[in-house]
Amino acid sequence: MTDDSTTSGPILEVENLAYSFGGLKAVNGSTFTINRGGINALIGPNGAGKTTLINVVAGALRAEAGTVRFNGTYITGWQSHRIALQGLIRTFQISRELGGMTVLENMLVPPPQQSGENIFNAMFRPGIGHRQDKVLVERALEQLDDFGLYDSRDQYARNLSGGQKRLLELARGVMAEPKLMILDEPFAGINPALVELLEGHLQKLRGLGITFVMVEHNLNVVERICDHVVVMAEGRTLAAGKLSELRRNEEVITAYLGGALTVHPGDTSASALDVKHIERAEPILKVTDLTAGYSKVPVIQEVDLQAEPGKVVAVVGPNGAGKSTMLKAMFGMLRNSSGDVNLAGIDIARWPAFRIARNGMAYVPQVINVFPSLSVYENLEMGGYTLKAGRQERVAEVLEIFPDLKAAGAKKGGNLSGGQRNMLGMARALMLNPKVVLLDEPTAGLSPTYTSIVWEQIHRVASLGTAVVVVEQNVDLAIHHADWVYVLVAGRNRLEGPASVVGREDLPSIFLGGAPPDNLAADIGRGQGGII
Amino acid sequence: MSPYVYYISTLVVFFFIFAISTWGLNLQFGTAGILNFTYITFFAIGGYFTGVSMLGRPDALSNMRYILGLSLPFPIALLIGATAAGILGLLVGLVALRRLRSDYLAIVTVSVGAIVYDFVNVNTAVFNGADGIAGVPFPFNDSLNLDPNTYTFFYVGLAGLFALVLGILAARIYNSPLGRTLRAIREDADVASAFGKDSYRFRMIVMVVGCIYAGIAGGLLVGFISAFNTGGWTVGETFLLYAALLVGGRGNNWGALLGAFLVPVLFQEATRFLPVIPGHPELIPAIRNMIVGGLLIAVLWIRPEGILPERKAKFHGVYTPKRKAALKVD
Repeated sequence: MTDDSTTSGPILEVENLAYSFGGLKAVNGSTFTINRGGINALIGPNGAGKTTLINVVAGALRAEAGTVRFNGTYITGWQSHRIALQGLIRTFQISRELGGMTVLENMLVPPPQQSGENIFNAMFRPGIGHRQDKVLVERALEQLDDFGLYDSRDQYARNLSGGQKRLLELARGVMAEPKLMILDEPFAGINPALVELLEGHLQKLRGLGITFVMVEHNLNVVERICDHVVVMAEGRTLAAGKLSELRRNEEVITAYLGGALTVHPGDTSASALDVKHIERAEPILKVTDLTAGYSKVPVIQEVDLQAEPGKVVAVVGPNGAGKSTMLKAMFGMLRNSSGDVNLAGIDIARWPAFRIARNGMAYVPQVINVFPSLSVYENLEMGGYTLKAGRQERVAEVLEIFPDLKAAGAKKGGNLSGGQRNMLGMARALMLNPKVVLLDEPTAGLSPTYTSIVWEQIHRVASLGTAVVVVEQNVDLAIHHADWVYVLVAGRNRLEGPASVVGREDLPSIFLGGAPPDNLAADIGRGQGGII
Repeated sequence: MSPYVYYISTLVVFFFIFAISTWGLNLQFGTAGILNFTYITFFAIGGYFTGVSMLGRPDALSNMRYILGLSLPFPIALLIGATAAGILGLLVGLVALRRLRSDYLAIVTVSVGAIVYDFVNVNTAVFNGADGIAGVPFPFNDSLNLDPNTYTFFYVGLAGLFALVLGILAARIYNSPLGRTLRAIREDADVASAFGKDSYRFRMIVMVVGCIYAGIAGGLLVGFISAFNTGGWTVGETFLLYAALLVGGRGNNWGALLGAFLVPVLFQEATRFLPVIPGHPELIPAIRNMIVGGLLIAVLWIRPEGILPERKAKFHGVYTPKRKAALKVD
């Protein structure tokens, strides 16, 4: 597709790029080079700043510092449409089909230099647009045929299936005659057959001279089709090279596991498979064969989990493993779910969330919504809204567990620090005196000091007899603090056991892939790929 | 001649004028998704400037004050009116279209409408305030010299000609690659700009063109009723046009035409025949609004896309499928 005589050398040079949301430095001095004519991957743990980086490079966000050079031209600070006209086309993480237009029309929007877009031609010389459309329609139909979307050409794009929308996203991008395509998680949420199909398309388009950069969590796909990998963490580019080399890179391992492991990996003297025989106390929460997702493609499959009163259970895993989805499914927030969720002897699977809450389970989401104009005290009262009596007393009791919040009692919710917010979320969940508390990454984005304070509170909550299920990004913290650890990979239980036993497993290879070939095959069969 | 014929031909003129307005609104809202909540202001500006361009210099006797007073023939006056509406559209667009969020645009347009309305209403020295202008000469009648009834028939033809030309142009825009790009911007402006479309420029073009449609419609109305005042361009009038477009079918020029017939003409006019209850002069207009509101709710409930919904784009004579689809994707 590119008519450049140069077939090698850099096509995209990013230097010291920076962008922040408020105080959060999402991209913080990222530097890397992409050479012409390959499929490149941009990987990194959650919150590494990959999508923000794409948005800055493609002009959707304005760089605060640094430069972007595309095809020899500095495009830093350009508006996105100008960048697109240079031949840098990006796709979006969530399919952004033009729903109210047909599939064919979706294909006809991207081509550049359409004379029919001129208002005078449109009004007084309609023939120009029609003649150009004729050529474009031919091209679009051929492309649609290639992508298996030919039969859907006259459907409204919003009526396509999730997988078809992903295909359209790519096919439509090609119509824009790109030199470089940046794909934001093109394989997210699609079924195994489609993964292979999409891979084939990328290989074929690479052959036509389009360079690709893709953000991807599925490291098996990256392994198979990417020539060059750039690793990001905390807004910086950590390393670049071949995935097989990067897997052994200490920094990369640390970034993926959320911190350095204090235990030695590779020592598998006690196999985690044996732990099924370890005697555990009678669980208050017992999840069996839970399968759930947002569309027809399940995110978690046949997941098991148990939690006992007074114990802390941690769920860890690479991003995209389905940890948050599992909590939501347990709490009745996902419609497409199957399996059993047993809470204190009652099967609560597929109950609506409010009923589950009344029956003694509390859920604290990753992003906590506190009422910004209400005080800490009033926020807690709202949490105990359904209490018929003794609400004030319960607020006092809860505040006893959280001395930090007690001190901030009169402060407005909007003025709390990140850590205080997380605590308030937890405290509010405790207002109804739940038997089980589900916490989704309670320490995400907190300073090390506050992280340990939050964990201290988690222990205190457990010590009152509550069962606590924590999703934790930082594996080391989970192993350090939890009684029992579940490792979730690609939506399935990978291993579980007492924290000490799990800590001896080769977690870096579980998180970063490099699994033996037979495992790999099984992973592909699951659609998500083995890892991340 | 029967008074009914006169009445019906008056309604036909109104229908054509409303059709032009609704097409302009369909260009802005139905095609490009621009929420212009003061569309009627551009209609009024077009009408006012057409009127004052046709009137002679203001004299002390008539006790009217206005700007211009150029005694120009109707075609040139209408051009001035349309240009004025287009320029105001450009100015509003400069402020409002920079941001992509449509709620931002909606608020800016409401404010602009209120400012212009009050500015004209209060400013008796320049615009004659709420009294507006009257005695605008009938277009072309200085040479035609028709009696009022026959002149109405002439105006049916005149307004019909404008409606025909503007209707064809609106359809051409909608069906052109420009229309496609505008619809893409309506669906998702981020995606459009990711494909190199300058959303701001495209929305500005259609903002101005839509406002010119409103200006022409306003000019045609002033030429027909030979008077204009601020009472005729309240927020409610914009609502009426939105109701017409939503009932008829947004994104469909035939729908806009049907809506212009159903809402401002049929439902508005039919209620004029309701018996007046003595002592309650406000009742009939209130019932009229209730009926239009009820119709709108009923359509949005039963057929949310409008009576004639937006149709899928067709590419007649362009399909030449050489191969059958080989791949089937789930």
